[in-house]
Amino acid sequence: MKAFIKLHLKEYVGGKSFILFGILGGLVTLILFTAGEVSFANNPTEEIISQFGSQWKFLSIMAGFAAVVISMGTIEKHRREKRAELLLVHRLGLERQMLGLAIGNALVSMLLAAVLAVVLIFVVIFAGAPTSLIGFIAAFLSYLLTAGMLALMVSVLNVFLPSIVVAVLGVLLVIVGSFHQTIQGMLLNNGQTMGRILAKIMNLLPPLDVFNRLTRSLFFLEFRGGPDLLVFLIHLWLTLTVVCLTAKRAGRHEKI
Amino acid sequence: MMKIKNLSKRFGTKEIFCQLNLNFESGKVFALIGPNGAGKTTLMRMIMGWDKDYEGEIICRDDIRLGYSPETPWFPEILTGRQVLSFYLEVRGTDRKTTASESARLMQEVGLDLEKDTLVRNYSKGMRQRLGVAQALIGDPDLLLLDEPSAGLDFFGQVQMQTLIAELKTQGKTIILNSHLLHDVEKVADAGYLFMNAHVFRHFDKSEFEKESLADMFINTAKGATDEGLY
Repeated sequence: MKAFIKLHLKEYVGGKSFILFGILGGLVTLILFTAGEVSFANNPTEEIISQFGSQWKFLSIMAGFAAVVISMGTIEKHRREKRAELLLVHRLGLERQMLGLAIGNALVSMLLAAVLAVVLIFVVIFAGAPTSLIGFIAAFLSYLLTAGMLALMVSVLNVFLPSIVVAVLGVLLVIVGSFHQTIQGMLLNNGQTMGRILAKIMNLLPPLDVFNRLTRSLFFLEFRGGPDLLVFLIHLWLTLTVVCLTAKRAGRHEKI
Repeated sequence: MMKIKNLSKRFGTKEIFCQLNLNFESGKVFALIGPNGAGKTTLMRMIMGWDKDYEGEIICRDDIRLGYSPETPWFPEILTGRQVLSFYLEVRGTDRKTTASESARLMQEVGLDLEKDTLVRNYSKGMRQRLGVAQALIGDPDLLLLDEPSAGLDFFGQVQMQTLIAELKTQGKTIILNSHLLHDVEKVADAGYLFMNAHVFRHFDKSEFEKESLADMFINTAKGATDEGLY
């Protein structure tokens, strides 16, 4: 499986899209950095929180979209090009093929998320962000894992659904997830039965805004987010379980 | 080497095989010929174990080593020919040293050693097919299944493929060849099976198509079956 994941990374990492995402991430970081300076010129604390907080928020959303774009068609492509058969001849079973693809997608998405945040790293170092090395690493890890988790979810969706449907669902997952609590609040405030049901259904979707709040609180070293960490870990565990079960199903039904 | 007993297979309402009995002896080249949709590729997939939805038996040694080259083999376009073989060898868990020597040996065996460092995306159709055979030879298979290895090749490519198959036969490999190119089959096959539909098929061997061309055999079998209302 190692060789298969290595090949997946070789196929998807690098090239124009990575450079483009690096530039895009840099632009967003710099624009938000400048905007923060203008908006909160008389309040340095607010300024810093606004600058770095919104940078993490926007980068997370962009990394989420990138994860969807990268992962949305890989399994369908694997199927269409009949890659599975030759790999089976060479003793790579369908379960491990599916796992390899999902892990490969997660790794590529995390790398792309890292590329998006390259300029942010420079800003953190040179603009004196209110964080420590450990705080930054922890925040960065949770940011990368969020992108990886989305890639895993989209990969699983692509086992059952065509790429185009997965793309739409993936984008919805990112948008709804990024404003999860706001939307859920609106639905509950609505007071109607349908609203309450929809709010409950939303619990199944990954609350990317909660994950982002966790990232920010880790970054600002004001970690009071025990419940956020718990939600994050539960979703991570659930995602990994679903990936493993889907891979097992592929192996059992001898079909990806 | 391998026996197929009372094999029956359907795709929905369409009957593909009905009580089919085939025998593949060691060290020979067998051809499967017949019109499109007769079930030749399906039979290969059943032998490979990818299609288990059938009745009957495919009998062979438990530890038989199978090699397979599909009609359009998938190769990662970003790799060179030699890297492709190294990839499949690594997937099998072969150690680095053996991978390097084995991939070089296989490239030489199929006559691609001069193109070993060329990207697969720049390979011609014939080179791709030979690379397909090279990957099928990984693990020194006892039985080699080649699905349309000469399809789409020019005359020179077809001759190269015939030579390669003849060489593999001299090494004692058992080969099952699925081909539409009857002159190709006449050059390399020792025996074979002609499939028309689930109820019409016949076995032939070299002595027969030395007397009657495969094309004539094909036409006569189809005509006979039509007269009997079976085709």
